Amino acid sequence: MDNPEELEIGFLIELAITGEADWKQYNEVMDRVENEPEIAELYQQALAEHQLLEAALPAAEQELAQEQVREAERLRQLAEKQRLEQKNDLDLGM
Amino acid sequence: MESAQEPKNPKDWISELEGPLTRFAISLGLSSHDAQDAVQDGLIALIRTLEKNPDSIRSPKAYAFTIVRNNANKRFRERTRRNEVEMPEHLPETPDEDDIYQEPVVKQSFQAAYANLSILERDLLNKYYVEKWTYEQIGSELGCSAQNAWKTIKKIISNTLTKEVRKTLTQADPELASELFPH
Repeated sequence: MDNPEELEIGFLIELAITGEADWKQYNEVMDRVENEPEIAELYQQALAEHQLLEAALPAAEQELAQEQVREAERLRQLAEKQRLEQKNDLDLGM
Repeated sequence: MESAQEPKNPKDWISELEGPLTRFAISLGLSSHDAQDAVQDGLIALIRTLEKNPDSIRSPKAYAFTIVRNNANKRFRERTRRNEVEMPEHLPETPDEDDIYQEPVVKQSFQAAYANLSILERDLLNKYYVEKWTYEQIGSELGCSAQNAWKTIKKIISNTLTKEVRKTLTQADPELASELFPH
């Protein structure tokens, strides 16, 4: 999607999908979707991508947060292990 | 972005949105009867929320479109699963994105790509796809136009997420990769 016309219609399609388009933009997109197969294909791709991201992002964000918690716990356990090892070394007079 | 002033009374949204929402639902592949049902359910949900908790909706119009899109897809999928309807020829059938995301290879590659995004990039994607900010609102936070906000988000998706997911999928499951990324 490099040429200005594709950029323009790509942006309008995204606005139409989310309801952000004004009525003139919205009607332009729907007219072209109904009359131009290549625009219908762009519209369907944008719709599929939008829905995939809506479904995937919350799960990915949750997984990332859990991963960060696991990593923090791993570091805490590592620090605790090192502290105990140092304490043992001191107790043994090393 | 709006050319006219938004309705003040929640019920005025019905006359404002009914036509465009019905056309939108039909564009998703629904029959006109199913489209009307999906729109009616969407408008009822919008009005209930506007009356009970108006501050929870950032943009009533965007909210209604999202609800109708979800309703329409749900109805369409129910009917296609029962083999009652087929996708119109001019609208190529797209895979069910919820099912696709449940594919372990897609989920894992998406999560790996997502974890590699910067905090700013993740924040932008969440604002748009999860918190339902408009491009206008994201643009004004970034200090750019709505169209440039769209380009920024599009670039994050195509340069990182799509590229990484496509790369992993092409190696792990070429058939699914060509289904998801036909071009």
